[in-house]
Amino acid sequence: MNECFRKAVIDSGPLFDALVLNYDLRRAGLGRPSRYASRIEAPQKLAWQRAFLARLASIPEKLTTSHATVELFHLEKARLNLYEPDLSYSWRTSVDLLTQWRIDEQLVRLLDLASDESLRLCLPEIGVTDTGLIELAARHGCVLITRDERTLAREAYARQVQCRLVRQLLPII
Amino acid sequence: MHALRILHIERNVKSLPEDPRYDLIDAGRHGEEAGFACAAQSLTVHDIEAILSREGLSPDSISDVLRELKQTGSAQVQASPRIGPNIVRAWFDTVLNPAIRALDIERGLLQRRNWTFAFSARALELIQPLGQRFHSANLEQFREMNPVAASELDKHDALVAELQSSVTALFDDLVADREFVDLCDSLLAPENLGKLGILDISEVFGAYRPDARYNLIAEYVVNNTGELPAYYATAKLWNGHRDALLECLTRLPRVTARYTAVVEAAEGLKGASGNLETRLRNLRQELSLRYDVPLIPPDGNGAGA
Repeated sequence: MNECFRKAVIDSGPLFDALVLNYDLRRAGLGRPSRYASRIEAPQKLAWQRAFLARLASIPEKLTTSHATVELFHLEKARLNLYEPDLSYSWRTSVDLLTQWRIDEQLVRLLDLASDESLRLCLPEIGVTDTGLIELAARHGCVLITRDERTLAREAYARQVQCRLVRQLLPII
Repeated sequence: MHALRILHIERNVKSLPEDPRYDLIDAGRHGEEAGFACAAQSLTVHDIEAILSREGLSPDSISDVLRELKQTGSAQVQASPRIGPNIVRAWFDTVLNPAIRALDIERGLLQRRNWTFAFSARALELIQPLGQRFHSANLEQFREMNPVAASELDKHDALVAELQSSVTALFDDLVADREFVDLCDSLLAPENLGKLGILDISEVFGAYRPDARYNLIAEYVVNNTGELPAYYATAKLWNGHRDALLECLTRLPRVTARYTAVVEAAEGLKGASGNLETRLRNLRQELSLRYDVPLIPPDGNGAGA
């Protein structure tokens, strides 16, 4: 499982996991206990968490869509629901990490997806975010990284878009 | 709608005619006798007079009440509303619990000399004036009703402002210092980056703009940043030269003077922060026990400390 990817499209799930793990590690650096890793769908072992962050960091070109970044906000509300000052600090550490990683956020327009003959059928089934991620990966000819096996990965495989689940990238320790 | 508070006073049926006693029920802020009403029994006329006086009734009104009591054996008095469990709950959730939590975090950061300065915002991210951070009508009300705590809060916030301005001055002097800039340039020279296994400077700073590079390094220095995790683009550079860069705080004369001022400001704030936290914790405990309000709501959704 040591595939090297030069470029990858990252779904909001793994991206959110990375940001939360980073936030927890940054908090630990301030002498505050880890609290949030338990609220994401990642194994609890610190070694796995660090390896996961290192794995994503090692991909030179990381892409995502604007729709996926909007989901980060909703995921924070649903999974963490932070209060100030933690809320501001989590956003600051997240933006810092995304800047460090040079995340390339691209807009995949709904009207473009809807005007594409094959993607148009996909839209009502899996929604604009997932359809946009598949389109972006197809456009760049790169792999799509997700945790969503049932919907996103299945549709990507069906469309011959290269896709890796997080558990394929990094086996559970 | 005005919140009402009714005091019911009734002759105690067991008291003797030559020594009449009275029972008082404080019906709470909304005139409800259930729930949080306070009762006092077997009070003398003098006790009743003193209570009504403390409630702010005029001498004439008190005389009227006492006359009515004597004639009919009971009276009702409309009193001013006062703090009750709903207000206390609001103070806990919007002022006391978040403030206590913030103060606890703040002292940990001051201890580590990590001021959480962010160059992009030119502000301390986790060390902020509480009056600004938790500004609300609840805070204003809390301040009015607790003037001693309000005064300590103001003192704390003034010291935060002093630290903020000291740290900003330190940052400004550091990024403007020729020796610091030369040191950064030297560390970022291709031959030195190569020694760290970095092929190009673009690998170091991710999507940070070139003009932010010195600022980012200076931010790490000012905050006494520890080793960065390897998944950070800046980790190789910072971890490799952290000691040399941090030395700027004690080696460059102008920067050292600024750094000394920051440390002094932080020490002053640390003391004020501890005092304020103790006061707020004691006040919270007192309010909780007096009004039977849990520190954190049973559903656990409050901003608990």
